[in-house]
Amino acid sequence: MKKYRFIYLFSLLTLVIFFTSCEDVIEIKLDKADTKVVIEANVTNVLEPQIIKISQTKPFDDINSFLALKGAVVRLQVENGTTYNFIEGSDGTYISTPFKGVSGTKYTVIVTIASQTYTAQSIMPAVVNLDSLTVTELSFFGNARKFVQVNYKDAPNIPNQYNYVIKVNDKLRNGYFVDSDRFNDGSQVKNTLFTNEPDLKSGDKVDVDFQCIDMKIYRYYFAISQIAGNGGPPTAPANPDSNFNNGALGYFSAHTSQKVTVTIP
Amino acid sequence: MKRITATLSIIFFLFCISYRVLAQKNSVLNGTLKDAKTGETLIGASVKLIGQLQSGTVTNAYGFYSLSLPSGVYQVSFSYVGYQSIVKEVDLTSDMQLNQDLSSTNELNEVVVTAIKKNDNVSNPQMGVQKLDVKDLRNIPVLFGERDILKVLQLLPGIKSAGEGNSGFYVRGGSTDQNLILLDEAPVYNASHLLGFFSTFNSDAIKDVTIYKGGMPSQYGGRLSSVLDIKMNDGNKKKYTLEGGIGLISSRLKVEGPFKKDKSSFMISGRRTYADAFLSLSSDSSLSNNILYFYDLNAKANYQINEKNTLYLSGYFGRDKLGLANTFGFEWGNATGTLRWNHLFSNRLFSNTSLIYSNYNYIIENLQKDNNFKVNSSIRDFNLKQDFQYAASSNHDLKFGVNAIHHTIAPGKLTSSGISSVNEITIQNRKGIELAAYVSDEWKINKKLNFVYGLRLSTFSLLGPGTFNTYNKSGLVINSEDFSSTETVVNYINLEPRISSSFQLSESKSLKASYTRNTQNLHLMSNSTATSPTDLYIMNSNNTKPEIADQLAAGYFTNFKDDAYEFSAEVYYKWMQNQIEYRSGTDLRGNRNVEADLLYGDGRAYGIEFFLKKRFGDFNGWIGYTLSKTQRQFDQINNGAWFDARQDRTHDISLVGIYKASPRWTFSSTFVYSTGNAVTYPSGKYQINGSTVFYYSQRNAYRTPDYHRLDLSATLEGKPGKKYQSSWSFGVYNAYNRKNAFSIDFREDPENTSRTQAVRTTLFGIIPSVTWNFKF
Repeated sequence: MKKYRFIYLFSLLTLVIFFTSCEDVIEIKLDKADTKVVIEANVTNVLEPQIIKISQTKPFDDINSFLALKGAVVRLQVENGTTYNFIEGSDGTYISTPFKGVSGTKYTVIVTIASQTYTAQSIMPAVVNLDSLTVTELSFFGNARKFVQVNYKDAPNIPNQYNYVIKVNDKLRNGYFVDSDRFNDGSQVKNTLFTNEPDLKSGDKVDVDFQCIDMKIYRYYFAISQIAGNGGPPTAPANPDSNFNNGALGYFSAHTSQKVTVTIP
Repeated sequence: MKRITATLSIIFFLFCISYRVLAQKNSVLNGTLKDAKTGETLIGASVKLIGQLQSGTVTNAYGFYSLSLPSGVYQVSFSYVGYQSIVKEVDLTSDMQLNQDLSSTNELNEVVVTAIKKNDNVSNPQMGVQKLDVKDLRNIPVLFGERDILKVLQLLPGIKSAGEGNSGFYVRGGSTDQNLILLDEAPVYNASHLLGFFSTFNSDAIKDVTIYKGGMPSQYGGRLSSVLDIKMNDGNKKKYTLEGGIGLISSRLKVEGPFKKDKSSFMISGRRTYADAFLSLSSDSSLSNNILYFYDLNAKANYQINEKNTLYLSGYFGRDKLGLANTFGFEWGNATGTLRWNHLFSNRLFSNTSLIYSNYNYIIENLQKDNNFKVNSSIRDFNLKQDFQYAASSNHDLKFGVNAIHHTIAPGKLTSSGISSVNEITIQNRKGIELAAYVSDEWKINKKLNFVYGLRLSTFSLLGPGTFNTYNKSGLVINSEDFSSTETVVNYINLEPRISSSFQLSESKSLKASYTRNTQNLHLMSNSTATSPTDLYIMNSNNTKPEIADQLAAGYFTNFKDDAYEFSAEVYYKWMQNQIEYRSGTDLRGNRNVEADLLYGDGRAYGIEFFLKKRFGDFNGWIGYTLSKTQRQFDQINNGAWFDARQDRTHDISLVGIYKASPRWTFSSTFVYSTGNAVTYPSGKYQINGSTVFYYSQRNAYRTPDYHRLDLSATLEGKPGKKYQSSWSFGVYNAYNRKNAFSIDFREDPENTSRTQAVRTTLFGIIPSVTWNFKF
C-alpha cells in the first residue's frame, strides 16, 4: 500500500510543476528538552552476540551522532527462565554471549540506569522466508527509477509485519522500512522498496536485512515514518509509542533476520 | 448539564406565554419576491411595515413571505441588497397576496436614494450570521482567478482558512468537518477539488450564500461549528442567457432560460480544468498519458404548478481525476440531488418537502500488474425533510419540521485481478439513521425586544448488520458482538436548545445574545496535517459518542451614516465534548479497527470578532479582526494538559477593498494577516537504527511564522451596448511574494548529514491570473 504515498507525492508534484512551490532552509529557535534515555534492543534468530545500544537525546542543533550512555546494567530474560547478562562494550553497546532467538518465544529486556529500571517485552514472530530480491523500474514523469523488489510468500491467516534494513554499497540507506500483510495475507508478495534518495544505479550493491517483526515494533517504525510523510500526508508529529516503560525512548524487537544481496544490473 | 436545563426551562416558558397570543384574529399578507429581470426568487429580502410596531419579516429560501396583521392600511416596503427598494400602500381588509418584482441596481449604476432603512442586521435577533453577496465575488481577487465562495468566506471574522490556498475552513475553533455545507439542502461531504485548492462550488451557479457561526436556527443540525447554506440559481424565468468564462485553470459555461415564461425554468452550469490538456501536448508518452483534471456540473429546474405548488429539482455532480500513466489512477467526487415541493396549505402555512440524495466516493487504482488493486470507498445519504413555516400572529413566526437521514458508509472495498498479490477485502459497511424534529418561534415582543427560541431533538441510531467491537482505553477489544440487519447497535438522543435575542438600543444600535447547542453524529477521520480526499467518515458507535458543542455569544451591532456603514463586535465561548484525536502511528487507510486508535477529549474556544463594513458607494469593503483561542484536552496527549489546537490563531485580520473607479473599471484588493499555526517542533533528537529521529516534548507548543498576503485584482467591463456583455479580470495573488510557510519540516542536511535543518515549504509565490467572462 505504499502506493498511497506516491499518490500524495504525485499530487503535490503536479502542484509543484504547475504552481510555484519552493523550499528553503530557515532558522528556528528550538527549546532544549531534558535528556531522555534511548534504548535500541534487538534479539535475532541468528546465532550471534546479541547487541543492545543505549544512548541519550541531544539538542536539535548538535551534530547527528550517537550519544552513548555508559554504565547501564542490561539483562535479557527468556520465557523458559534463562537469563543473559549483557556486557558493556564500547560506545553504549551492550553485548551478550552468542545465542540464537527462537520464534514464538517471549523475551524481556531489563535495563537499569542509575537505579531506574526500564523493561520491555517482545515475542519473536515466525519466520517468513525471503525468496529473492529482484530489480524493478518505475517511471515518474518520464524519469525511469530503479528500485529493489522483495519476493516472498506471506504466511496465511496470521498477521505478519516486516521490516527492511537497506544498505547500498555497504552504507545504510534505510534504517527501517516497514510493511504488513493487511492487504496481501497469504499471497505471493512482490513489494517495491521505495528507497531514500539518491536513485539506485547500475552496479550498486544493495543489502537487505529482511526481518519479521512484532506488531508493536511495526507501529513504532510506522509512526516515525508517518511523521516524515512516508505513508501519505504527514501527520502531526508525536513520539512513537515505545514498548519500554518508565519513559524510555526506543524499542525492543525480537525478530527474525535474513540478509540478502542484489547488484543493480 | 445545568446550562442546558436552565435554557430548556426558559424555552419552555417562552413557548407557554406565546401560545396564548396565537389565537388572535388577523389577516394575512403574503407573496413572493423576485428579480424583475430574471424571475429568480430573492432569498432573505426584507418586507417591512413603515412606521409600525411590527417591523416586518424576511423572505424564506424560496422568496416567500407571510405576515399576519390586524386589518388596516400599511406602507409596505420591499428591499434587498443591490436592488431598488419599492414601497406599496396596502389596504388590508382580508387575506391578500402581493407578489413583488425588484430591479437590480447593478445595470443602472446610479446612486439609489431611499428612505428605507437597511438595518436588518441590527434589528434581527439572529447573530453570528454572514451573508455573501454573490455579485461581489467577481471583484474579489482569488488564487488563479478562480472565483470561489469558500475563499471569500475566509475573509470574514471568525472564519479561517485551513491552509494556504485551501478551501477548507475553521469556524470559531471548529475543525473542517464540523461545518455543515449544504448545496440546495444536500450535505456536501468533501467540498474541495485538487487537494483543497478549489472549492466544489462554481460561483456561476450560486444564488445565495449564508453562513452561521453561532446561534444556528433550529432547522439546521448535525454539525458542531457552522452551517454554510448555499442555494443554486433557479434559472432565468424570462429569457435564455448564455454566460461563461475562460481562465488560466478552468473554463465555465452556464445556460439558463424558461421552459415556460414565468412558470418554469432551468439552469445548467459546468466547469472544467484543462491543466491536463498541456500534458497531452507533450510528445513524451510518459507525460501525455497522465491525467489531471476536475469538473463540476450544476443543474436545476423548477416548475410552478399553480399559485400554491412549486416543484424544484436540482443536482450537482463533480469529479476529480488524477492518473499517472500505467501506474495508478485516483478519482473522487460528490453527487447530490434534491427534489423539493413547495406547498401553501394556507396563506399562513408554508410547507416544503425535500427528498435529498448525497454521495461522496473515491476510487484508487494501482495498475502495476504484480500488485494491482482498486479501492472503492463511499458515504451515501438518503434524506427526507419536511419543513413548515407558520405566520402565527403579528409578532410570532413559527418554524417546525422533521428530518430523517439514512447514512451508509462503505469504508473500503479492495478488489484485485490476475496475478496481483493484493487480496480482495471488504470492510463492513456501516448504516445509521439520524432523526430530528424541531420547533422555533420568532417572537417580536415589542419594537425593542425580539427573541428566536427553539428546540431541536436529534437522535442517532447505529444499525446492523455487522460485527461491532468495544474497545478499552488502551484500544484493546473488550467485547465483540454480531448484529443482524434488523437490530440496532446503539442509540443516542440529544436535545439541542437554541435561543437568541436582540435588544434594540436605538433605531440603529442593538445588543444581541445567544446560546446554542449543536451535536454531530458523523466524524471525519484525518490524522494528517492536510486534508485528503481519502479522509473517511465514521458514525457514532458504542465507542464514539456524539460530539457536542455549547456556545454562548453576545454582541453589539450598529449601523451609521444612513446605514452606509455597519459595525459589529461579537464575543463567544464554546465548550466541545467528545472531540477526536489519534494514537501515534495510526494508519487510517483500510483500517477495520479504526476506533481502536481513537482518543476522545474536550475542546474549548473563545474569542472576540470585530467587523466593520462600508456597504455602499464607489468604494466599499470591510475589515475583520478576530482575537481568539482554541484548545483541546486529551488524557493521553500532552500529559493530559490543554494544548493549542491546530486551528488556533491568536490574531486574524482581513481587509477587503473594492473601488469602482469608472463605469468600466473596478479595482479591488484583499490583505490577510494571521498568527502562525500551532505546531509541534522537535525539542531534541536521537539515533534509531543509524537514522536521526526527533524527540517532541509538548504538543503544538510552537508557531509557524505569521501568515500575511496581499492580493490585487482589476476588472474591466466591456463597452456597453454590444450584443453581448464581456469583462476581463486580472489578478495578482500574493502581490509582494511573501514566502508563507505551507509546512515546516525537519530533516538531515543533505549537504552535511551530520547536521539537521528546518525546511520551509512555500506553496504559492506571486501568481498572476487573467480571466475573460462573457454573457449573451
